[in-house]
Amino acid sequence: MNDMKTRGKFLDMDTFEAVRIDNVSKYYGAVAAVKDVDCTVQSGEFLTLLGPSGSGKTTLLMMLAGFTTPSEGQIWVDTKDITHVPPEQRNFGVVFQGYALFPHMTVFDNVAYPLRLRKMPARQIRQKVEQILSLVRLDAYADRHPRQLSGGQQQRTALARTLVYDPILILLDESLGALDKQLRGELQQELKALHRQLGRTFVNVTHDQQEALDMSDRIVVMNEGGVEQIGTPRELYERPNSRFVVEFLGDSNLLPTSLAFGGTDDPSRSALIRPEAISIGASDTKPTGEDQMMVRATVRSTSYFGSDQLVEVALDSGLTLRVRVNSAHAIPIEEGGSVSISWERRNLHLVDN
Amino acid sequence: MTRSQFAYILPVLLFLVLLYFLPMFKIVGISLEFPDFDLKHYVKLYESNAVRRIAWTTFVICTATTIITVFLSYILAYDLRFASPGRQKFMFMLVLLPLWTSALIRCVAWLILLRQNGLVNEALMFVGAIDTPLELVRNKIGVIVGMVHFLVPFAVLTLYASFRDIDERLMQASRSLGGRRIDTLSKVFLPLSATGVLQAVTLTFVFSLGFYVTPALLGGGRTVMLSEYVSVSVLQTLRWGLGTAICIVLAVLCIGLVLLSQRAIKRWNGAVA
Repeated sequence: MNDMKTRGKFLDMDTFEAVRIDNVSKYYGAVAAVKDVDCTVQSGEFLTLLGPSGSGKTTLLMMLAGFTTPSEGQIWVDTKDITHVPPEQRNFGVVFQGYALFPHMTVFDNVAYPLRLRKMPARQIRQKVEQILSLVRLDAYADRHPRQLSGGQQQRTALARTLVYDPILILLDESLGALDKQLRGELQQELKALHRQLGRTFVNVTHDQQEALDMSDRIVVMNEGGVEQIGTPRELYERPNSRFVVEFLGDSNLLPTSLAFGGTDDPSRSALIRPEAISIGASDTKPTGEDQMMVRATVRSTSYFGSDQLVEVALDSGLTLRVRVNSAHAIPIEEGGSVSISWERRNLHLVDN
Repeated sequence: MTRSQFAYILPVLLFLVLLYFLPMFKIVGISLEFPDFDLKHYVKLYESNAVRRIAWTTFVICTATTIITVFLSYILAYDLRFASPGRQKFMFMLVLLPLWTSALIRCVAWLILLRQNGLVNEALMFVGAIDTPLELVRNKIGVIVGMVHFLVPFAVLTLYASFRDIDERLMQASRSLGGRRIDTLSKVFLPLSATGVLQAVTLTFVFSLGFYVTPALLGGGRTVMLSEYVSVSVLQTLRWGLGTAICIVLAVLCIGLVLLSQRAIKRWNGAVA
């Protein structure tokens, strides 16, 4: 449904389905870990399954990988139903949480493992492994054992091990989760570059919204086993279709429609305004345009982050709003001070309550 | 160590000194003809044909028992490792059940099953697989059967404990990379279980060296192992020097084996994990 609309917008190449998840559910007893998930993975895209823990994203990934069998529904590759095909016959690659590198093998042997299983001649194996190791900049580490590698090197080894046999689909299970923040950022960029360079299809699972927004062509937001919304990062951030997506992705303010637009209130809906879309001015500022809404407010608290600061203001109605102020255009803001805040109506987005 | 800490371990220490170390010293003393320092019993051990024959029998039986026990236990422990929690509970109960039965009763039970007109022979003759009863007890076969039965639970528990440390995701990774179950077992699980196997082999072998009741009953006096020979030397022929010398050799052998296997395990772990 949603992905039909966006198909073709996010990739400049001719897109076609790599994998289709067709109404898949997984029950453990009476509990649905995944419920009626319908979604396609486009060839060459980087798709992220994003959700809090317990949202079913990992279960869905394990069903794609073949380690978990769906209770209902099918998974298709082209016209082939692979729902009951065991993992070793799917020709997918999985980068596991913790990487699951074989501790008794060197980096070279780890990467050569899938090729040896495919009975490739030794000379060809050496050539392919060396080529892929230099691609992930690990050529100097071929003879090391996994325990002698840093977290980032282990991650790249695991990636090389899945890239080396040209799988249809590469599945990443929170594969950046265990790393510290800076390293994670670096690896995100590296992975993004690799994805561009190789044009492979990736499905990534994460609970980190920044990672999802930064890396993905499209994001599937999951909640309580179901799909909340599918779309590009920009679509999800600017036009979320549910309160859950609003609250899960980024910082947000939800206003009653009467306040947001002026006029009568629509109790069934709220207006979303992002903190960075609100301006803050001196208390005697006058509205400048037709589209602008302006109200008086009192500054509750401020938090300074360097590039910007987060200001919490209280309206006369008691409602508090979060405002993100770019440090370069900031007016002096004091806690307890009186200010006027304003937003453009076109930056509002309606969400069902 | 503070004074109060010392007070806590004092009872155990006393217990060990009085009931373990003192008798051990006494045994060493007897074997060396204390207060002399005479190695004649050890020389006799080396020269005696009877001791040599019995030592060889013991070695053959213990080796066979160890191989069979660890092989069977490996299969059981592997199945246990990947069984569902409910089935695991049930299997554990079946594995541990024999431990609560006395060795004597188990031996008698095997005697009844394996003797000339026992259940096994009768059944085999009934279906026509054999014409004359097989010799299943009062020989090495009987001893090995009884010892394997006794040792399997210990080996299963040792192996299971080490299998549990093998990350299941490694097996999943192998499968996702295209490995069939047999590839995954032979190229990933088996190498990673090597230290567990070594532990189980050491435990089983060391344990089997000291078996007394089982060989005495199921060997029927014809298959004599070292510990039974010690008992005969001490209680019947009253050759205490010889008996204690065998004890010391066995004890040193056991300690040596344990130390050796520990070193090998440490080296292996240093190399992989």
